[in-house]
Amino acid sequence: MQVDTGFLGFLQNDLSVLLTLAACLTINLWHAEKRPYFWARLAGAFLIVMGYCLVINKVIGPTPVPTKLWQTVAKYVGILALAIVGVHLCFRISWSGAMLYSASAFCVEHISQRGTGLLTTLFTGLSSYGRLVLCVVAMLCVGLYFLFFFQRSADHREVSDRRIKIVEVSVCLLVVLTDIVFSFTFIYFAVSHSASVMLPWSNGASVLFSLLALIIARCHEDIVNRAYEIGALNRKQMEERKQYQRDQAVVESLNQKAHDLKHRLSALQPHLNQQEWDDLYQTVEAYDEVSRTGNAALDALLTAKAQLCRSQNIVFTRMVDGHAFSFLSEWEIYALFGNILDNAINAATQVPDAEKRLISLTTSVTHGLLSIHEENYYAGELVFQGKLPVTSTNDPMNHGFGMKSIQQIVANYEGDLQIHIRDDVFSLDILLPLPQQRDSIAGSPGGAFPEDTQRA
Amino acid sequence: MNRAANGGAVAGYPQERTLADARFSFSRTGHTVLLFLHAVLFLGNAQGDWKLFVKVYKDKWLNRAAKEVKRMRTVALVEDEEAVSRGMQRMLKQFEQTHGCPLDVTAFSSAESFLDAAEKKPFEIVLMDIDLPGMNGMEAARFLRRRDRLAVLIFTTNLSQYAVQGYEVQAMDYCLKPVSYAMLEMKLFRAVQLSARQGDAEIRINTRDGFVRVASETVISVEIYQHHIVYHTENGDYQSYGTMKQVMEELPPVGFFRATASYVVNLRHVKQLSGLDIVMGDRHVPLSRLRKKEFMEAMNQYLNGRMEGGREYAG
Repeated sequence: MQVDTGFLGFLQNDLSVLLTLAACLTINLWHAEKRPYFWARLAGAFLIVMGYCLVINKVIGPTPVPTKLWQTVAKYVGILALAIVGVHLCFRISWSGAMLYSASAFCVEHISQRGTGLLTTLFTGLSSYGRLVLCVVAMLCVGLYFLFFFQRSADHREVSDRRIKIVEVSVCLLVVLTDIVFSFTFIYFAVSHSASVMLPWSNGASVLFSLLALIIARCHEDIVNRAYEIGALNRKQMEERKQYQRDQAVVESLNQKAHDLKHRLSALQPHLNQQEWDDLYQTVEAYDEVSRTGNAALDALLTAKAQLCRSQNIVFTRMVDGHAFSFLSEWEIYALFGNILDNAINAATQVPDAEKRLISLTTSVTHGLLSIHEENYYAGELVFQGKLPVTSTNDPMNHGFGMKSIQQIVANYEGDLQIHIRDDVFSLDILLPLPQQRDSIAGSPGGAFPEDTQRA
Repeated sequence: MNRAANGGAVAGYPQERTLADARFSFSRTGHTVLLFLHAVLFLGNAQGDWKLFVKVYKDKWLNRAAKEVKRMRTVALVEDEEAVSRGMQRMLKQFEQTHGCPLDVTAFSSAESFLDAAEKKPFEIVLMDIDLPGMNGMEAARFLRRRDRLAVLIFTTNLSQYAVQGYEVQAMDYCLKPVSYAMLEMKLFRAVQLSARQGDAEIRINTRDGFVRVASETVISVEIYQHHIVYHTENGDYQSYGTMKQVMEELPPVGFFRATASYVVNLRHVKQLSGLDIVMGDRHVPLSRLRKKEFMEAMNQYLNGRMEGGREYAG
């Protein structure tokens, strides 16, 4: 089998490899932070890789099959290594991250090559259009890769957890071993021993291994995203908790003063007409708006949110029985109610009609179940991030977290969460089972049949 | 990849026509099937965390729902200030026109007069001012609750701190004075939804002694064992024959939940949820984990007066 070793050879064989690699890397690194002189670095990297290919093709010589197994393996390992180095030098990414991205790009390239091979054996009529098939397959693979791997969010999340790094490095090694070493070894042994019947197996196995590596890479993305979100949520909650504690102290003292003031003002009442008295009273009332729900964390949170609403001219009505929430931890209360109200406040502030800046929060206990209901007007379209609704704000990322946090807590307690939209009213209903001890009522599980006519 | 010198395919091996041998067709299809399965796995994985999802419903008015909304609601307005009372009545009229929901409004200027009237004719929705001459609204609510647990109660007040304890009298919510139409509309709509009844829905039970008509509200649960059906109601048990499917067709779609293969419960009569069991009276109905999730969903729908059928009869 003659192979052109010059530039033409490069164009015929390796360019497609490099193009696919470059396309996939672009998809992965779209939002990554670029290093200074990025374009210069990128151009340099590309030139180096091209040069490398040309050189190594010359070294291997015109007849790579079947003797030059290790040289071929070395060539592709070299390409992968250069890709890793290139990625690391062009972007601010850790080595293990670069390894993972390069390896997954390599997988796609591998799948398209071997996939083409499989297709040409399955449909022998295609073998004369080999390169065209390769182009089509490569584009298809890159397209699919785009669908599954392109991150829409603007920032590139890197989490420096050792386990994640181990995953990244392992995937890269897996790719190297199976896609490059193993598959080429297979091919060359098959060819040199004239056992070309093994080749479809080899191609198929290669493709499957690459798919497996890509699945792992995708899971890795999900895990990194989730770890990042949890980290962000924790930070947010920590800050808010400190804020609430500070607020609580301030609010307590303010309320004490307001209370005293109200008592003293009552002496003035006979000297004012009804209107003046009402106005005066309401002014002082504003500072006496302490929540006493029976749950300290809830009190702090509701008071803080009530003050926030007042400052934003949102009317916040609430009817919350704090005693029922004693089974939730402080964190959960801040996370649950904090997020519900933050979402509501964000939605209400965007409502143009001042009359419609309303938030209503009520809770009740019925049938041994705890229900939370929040309602507010909203304006504009309800935007969805995946399956979670989020009102369009300037800070969509944090909103996605808020709703997920609410969901997580509800799911932890095996509760139910529903959102209903009616014209311009958004309502959220949460139902949580109240933790109970098992009833000592003796009852036959499932109950009666014709003989037993006891009323249920 | 090395290109074959004959200008053929770019496969990684020389062209061998014998590969088209039928002997290997199985391996080829096997490969493609495996590939397909991997693609499916991939797709499933890429959708993200499918276990957590939020059920979002756009409130569609089904025919049944529309009929229930159009049913006239009796509303009591207890407000001592003339001007405020007139204003609220105007807003109630506006609500009527906007939503096509007829309201039979009676205005009272004192708690006592309201309680007297309520004893003779119960009201479905009560708008109660807290600050009333004589008996205040909260007191009146307590009296009301002794006789009427079903009325939907909304307080009106200019001071929120007295209304926040409204849950003690199972108040739905409160309106802050001066009451704007937007505020009243939002809360009254929910009151209308909550006061929706299962209606005058009746079910017919085919007993040995002929057909019996029973108000569906009084049905506590329905059990089936092979083809033997028992309807447990507030007024006793009724025996019948048939399949669960027939039972389900007869019962109204909202408010009844299929707990197990042989048990349907009326959510209205659920006492509590104890672990994985629904407690109804002195019976425990065991639920599977999946059913519990569906139960919570059905209950959430029911408690908020949602008119859609939901997934009561899933599986």
